[in-house]
Amino acid sequence: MSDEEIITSYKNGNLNAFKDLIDKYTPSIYNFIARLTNKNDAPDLVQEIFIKAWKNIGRFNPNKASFKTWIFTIARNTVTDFLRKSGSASGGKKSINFSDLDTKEESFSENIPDENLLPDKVLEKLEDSEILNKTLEKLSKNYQEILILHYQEEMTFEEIGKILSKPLNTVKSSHRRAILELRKILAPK
Amino acid sequence: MQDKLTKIFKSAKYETATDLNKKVWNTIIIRNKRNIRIKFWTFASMGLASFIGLIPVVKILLTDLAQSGFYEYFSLIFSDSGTIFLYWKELILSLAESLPIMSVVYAFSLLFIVFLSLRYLMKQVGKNQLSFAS
Repeated sequence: MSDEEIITSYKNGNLNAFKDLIDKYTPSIYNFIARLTNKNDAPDLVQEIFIKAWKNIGRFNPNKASFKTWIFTIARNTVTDFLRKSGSASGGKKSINFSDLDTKEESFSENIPDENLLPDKVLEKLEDSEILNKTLEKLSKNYQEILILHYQEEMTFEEIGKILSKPLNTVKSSHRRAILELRKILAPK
Repeated sequence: MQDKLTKIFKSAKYETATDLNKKVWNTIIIRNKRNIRIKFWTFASMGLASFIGLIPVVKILLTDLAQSGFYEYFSLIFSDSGTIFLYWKELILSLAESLPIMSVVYAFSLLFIVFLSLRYLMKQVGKNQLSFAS
């Protein structure tokens, strides 16, 4: 049963249909939230997100976006509010400015095709979950969001653009910068 | 790189607490029950208050109709049909002028609320959700 079919069933009076959506998306939403905030607050935030979705399901329009995109948009907004309230909108992490990078490196990296941005050695390092988690934590929230949504949730850049309310090209360039930042962090010193 | 990174990210996923989805669902059920309970009592008390208010308003309406001469004008409709046919415009104007507008508006507004509340309560009975209301 597709998400749209489940929602139609829910709107037609089958209240239990919403449970299927919760079962399906809880792990993904939890992971997204836990990475952007922390594991302790994540369960409460997941609950808040699904309650918001349940309250606003009548306004969901499948012609505008998929349910997955819609619920991740709610998740993203909830995280932003949470971080703002807890006073860590920047997460205490450095927001990466591309101009910070060495001009030489910039012009060099711009010539690298996206597929080869991360050398095999860096990828090998990332295979260690702990290293990946620590590296991700060093990235800005914006880059984290893009990498998690693209690689963990396998979303397209277009879908990510809808969630982040950013144009496609901005998402693509942010993704590229995020990968370059990953490489910079993991580069041998 | 794309495939490898996807694989890496997927293998590094955090484990979700097994009962998190159940907790979320239970919270939604509780909220739903609370919403139904609030709506039920709101509609029930609104309906009851409107019904109680309707009694004096209808009495006032009947008195106003009698005082304004509406009944007399109205009874003319059932009298000589030839005269009515000739002076129908005047009769309609007299009926409209003698109609106690405010009393009619009050009475119909309350009646509307009573029916709206009844409709909602019947709907809840139909959905068998009244157990939430207690």
